[in-house]
Amino acid sequence: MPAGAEVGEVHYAAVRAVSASQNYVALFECTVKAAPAPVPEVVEEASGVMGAVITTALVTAAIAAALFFFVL
Amino acid sequence: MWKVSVTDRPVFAATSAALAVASGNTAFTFTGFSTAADGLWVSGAALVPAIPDPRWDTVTKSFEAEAGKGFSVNVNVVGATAEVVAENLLVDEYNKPLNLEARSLILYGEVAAETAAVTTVGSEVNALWSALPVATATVYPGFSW
Repeated sequence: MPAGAEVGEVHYAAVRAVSASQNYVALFECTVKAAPAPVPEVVEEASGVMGAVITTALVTAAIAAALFFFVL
Repeated sequence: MWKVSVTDRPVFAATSAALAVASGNTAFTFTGFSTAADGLWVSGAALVPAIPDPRWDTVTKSFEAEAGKGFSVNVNVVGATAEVVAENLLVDEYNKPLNLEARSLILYGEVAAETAAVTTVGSEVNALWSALPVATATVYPGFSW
């Protein structure tokens, strides 16, 4: 199909054949259909970044608490 | 350098397995001419049958394809010969072109007979491609658009 063909355009091609003294002809009808819609791009969730920040804060607080009780 | 054609098409292949096809190819293979499941061909013993008029005749295959995609036809019938109907002969019963002007399909690939180049002292015969003789089990008519 031509790359710029519009949806709904119809194109034809034909082939003739000879076999066992018989003549044949075939007609092929191709209708241009729409390309499938592109898959939407997955947007990375902000919660992933926020989760890392919270985890880091909690680990830091736990280390600080351990130092407070055992060192001081 | 001579430019042979506008599109440098079709790409010829010496065997059916090597037929060049366009991206997203839809293949149709015929092992006979009267199998309803594959698609019926119009036949004629003495006269060459006219091309079916799609307005009221049944076409052999009617299908859909995306723009930029291709399709191919293989005639896997031993002893058969086949050829593509030229664009200027692809007309309806009133001699009107079936395809829109300047929107005809471009033959992408074709199975053909290859004759190797022959070099002798003082002369050279270039390699050439020609029409396929009768089909065999591995080399049979094949066309892609």
